[in-house]
Amino acid sequence: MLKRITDCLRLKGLISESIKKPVFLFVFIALSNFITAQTDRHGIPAELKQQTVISEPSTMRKGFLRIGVIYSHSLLDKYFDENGQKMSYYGSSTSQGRTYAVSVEYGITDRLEADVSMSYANGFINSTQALDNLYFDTIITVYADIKTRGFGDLNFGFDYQIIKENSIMPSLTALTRVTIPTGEKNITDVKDEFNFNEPAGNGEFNASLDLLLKKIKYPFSFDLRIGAVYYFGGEKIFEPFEETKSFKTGTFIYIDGGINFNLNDWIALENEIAYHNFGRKEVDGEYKHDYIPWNISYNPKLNFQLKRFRLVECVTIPLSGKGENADPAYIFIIQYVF
Amino acid sequence: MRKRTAFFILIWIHIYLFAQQGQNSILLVERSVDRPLTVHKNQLQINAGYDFSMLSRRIDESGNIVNLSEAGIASAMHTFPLNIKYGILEFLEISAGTSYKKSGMRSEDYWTFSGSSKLHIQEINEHKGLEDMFMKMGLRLPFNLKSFDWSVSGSVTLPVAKYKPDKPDHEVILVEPVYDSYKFTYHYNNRFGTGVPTFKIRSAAKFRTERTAIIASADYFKPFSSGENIHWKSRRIYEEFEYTGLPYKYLPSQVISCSGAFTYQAIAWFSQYIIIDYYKIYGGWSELTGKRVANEKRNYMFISFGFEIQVSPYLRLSQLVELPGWGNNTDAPICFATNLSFNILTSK
Repeated sequence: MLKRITDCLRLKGLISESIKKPVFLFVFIALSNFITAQTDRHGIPAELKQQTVISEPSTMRKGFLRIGVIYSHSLLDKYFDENGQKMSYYGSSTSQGRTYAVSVEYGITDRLEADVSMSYANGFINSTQALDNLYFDTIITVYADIKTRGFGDLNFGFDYQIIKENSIMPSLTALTRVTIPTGEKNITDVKDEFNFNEPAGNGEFNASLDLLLKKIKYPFSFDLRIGAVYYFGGEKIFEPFEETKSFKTGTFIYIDGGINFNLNDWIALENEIAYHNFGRKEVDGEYKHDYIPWNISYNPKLNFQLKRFRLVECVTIPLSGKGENADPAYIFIIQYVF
Repeated sequence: MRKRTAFFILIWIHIYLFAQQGQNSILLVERSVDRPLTVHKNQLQINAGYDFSMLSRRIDESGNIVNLSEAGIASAMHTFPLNIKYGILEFLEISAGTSYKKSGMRSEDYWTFSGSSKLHIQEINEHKGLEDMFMKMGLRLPFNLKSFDWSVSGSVTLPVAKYKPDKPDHEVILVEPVYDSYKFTYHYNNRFGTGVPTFKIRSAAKFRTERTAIIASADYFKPFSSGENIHWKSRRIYEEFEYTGLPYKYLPSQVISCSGAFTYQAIAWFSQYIIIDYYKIYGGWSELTGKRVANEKRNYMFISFGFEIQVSPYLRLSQLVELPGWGNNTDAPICFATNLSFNILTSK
C-alpha cells in the first residue's frame, strides 16, 4: 500500500525518484505512530480503571463509574486574626466537625463527566463557662452543647475536557457545579441559647466554574486550577431566639496547583498549595467583616491505588491567612471504579 | 584466549554487580517481621513524621474517666518527630533525634459579677518548641537466629532545648468603662525542654515466625540531677502587667515503661501491628509552690493500632492510632501518627 502511495505521488509529479525512499520512510513512521496511538487509545478497560491519580485523565473515560465515600474531620483550636496573626481560641470549647459524603462520577463520553455528591454532617461544639455572682455568692457553670447532625446540600455538575492532553500541551478541563440547598438551613431543637442544633445545610444556591490544567510527565503530573463559586443568597435563622435574616455569602475564589508523583507503581503523593479568598458575607445588607477573609494552605495527599480501589489520605495545613481557621483538617476517601 | 578471558571477566563483573544490588534490595525491602532490632551495617535510616494528639479525656486518681470539655479544659498537640539511625556494625547502631511540639491548653471562661460590674477571665497555657535531643547506642546479638533477636541500648538526653518559659502575654481590656467591666486574658508561654540531662536504658527481645513477630521491651528513664527553672508571677498595674521571674528547683520524675508489640505480615510489603504500652511515673519533686512537693505518681496504659507499607526499597510509610487505655492521674489523649522512614546503604 505504501508503495502504491509513493508511486501515485511520483506519477503526479509531486516527488522525484531520488526522494522516493525518504518519503517512503516518512510515511511508514507516520503510519506506525498512528497505529501505536490507536493501540494506546484502546487500552484494556480493566487496566485503565486501575490508573493512579498521576496517570489518569482529568475526566472519567466513557462508561466508567466511580463511587466514593469521603470522611473529613476538623477541629477548632487556632485561627488567623484580622492582622494575620495565628491566635488560640479562648475558652474551653472542644469542637469536632465530622462530615461523611458520597460522590458519584460517571464518564458520559471520554471528555464529558457527570458528578453528584451529598454529605452528612455529625459534629459538635462543647464548652463550659463559670458565672460567679459575688452579690449572691453563687457560682453557676453553664455547659454549652451545640450539635450538627443531618444531611447537607446536594451538589451536581459536569466536567468537560476542552483540550485533551498531547505530548506538548496540557489538558484543559472546565468543571461546573451547582449546589441545591437541600439540607436544613435553620437552627433547630433550641433548648436555650447554649443548647441547640446547628444546621447541616448552608441555605443558599450556589454555582461554580473551575478551569483545570493538567500535564502528565510520568512519574510526575502537574496541575493548576482556578475557580470561583457564586452564591445567590437566602434567608435563615442564625442565632437561637432570633428572627430570620437575609444573607449572601461572598464570592469564593480559589487558585491551587500541585506537583504530584508516584512513589511506586501504586502509591502517589500529591503536593498541593491552595489559595482561598472567601469574599465578604452580608447579613441583613451589612458586611459581617470589614476585611476579606483568605487563607493559603498546603494539602499533601497520599493515594493508594489497589486495583480498582483508591484510598486517599489528605491533611490540609493552613499556612497563612486572615479571619479564618488555622487548624489542620484530615480527609479520608475510598473510591472504586466500576 | 584473550576474547574468552574478556568474556569471563565481563560475566564475573556482571554477576558481582548483580549480587551487590540484590544484597542491597534484600536488606532494604526486608519484611517488617524479619528485620533485626538494630539497623544493618552501613544502613542510614532517617525517620520523620507528624503526630496529632487530641486531649478530651483525663483519668483521675481513682482511675475514673473525666470528660475535659465538661470540666472546662480543651487541648490539642502537634508533634513533628525526627530521628536518624546508622549501623556501625551489623549488630551496633547509633541514633540521635528530637521533635518539635506545639500545644495549647485552654481553660473555661470565668465570669464574675458584682453589682453592675463584671470580670471576664480567660486562660491559655501554651507549650511550644523543641524537645531535648537524645543520643543513643544500641547493641544486638552478634549472630543471626531465625526466630529470636535481643538488644540492649542506652541513651542520654542533652538539655539543649529551651526549657525556661518566656514572659507571659497577659492582657486586660476595659470593656465597659461605665460599669467598670474588664476582660482579663492570662496567656502563659511554656517550653518543652527538660532542663536537666537524663538517661534511659532499654532492652528488647524479638520472637518471630514466618508471618508474625512479637517485640517485648522494657525501659528505665532517670534524670542525672535536679535543675532550676523560673516561674513568672504577674502583677497588674492599671491596664498593664508587670512580671517577675521567681526561681525554683525541681527534679523530674523517673519512668519505668514496658511495651509489647505484635506484628502480622499480611503480604511482603504490608504489615499490621498492635502495641500495648505501660508507663509508671514516680519520684521527683518541685519547689514551685515555695515548699518541696513530690510529683504526682502516675500509671498509664494505652493501645496502638497501625500498619506499615514498604513503598519502595528506600521508603517506608507507617501510620498508627493510639487509644487511651487505663491508669490514674494522667491525661488520656487520642493520637494519630504518620511516619516516613528513608533508608539507604551508604556503602556496599
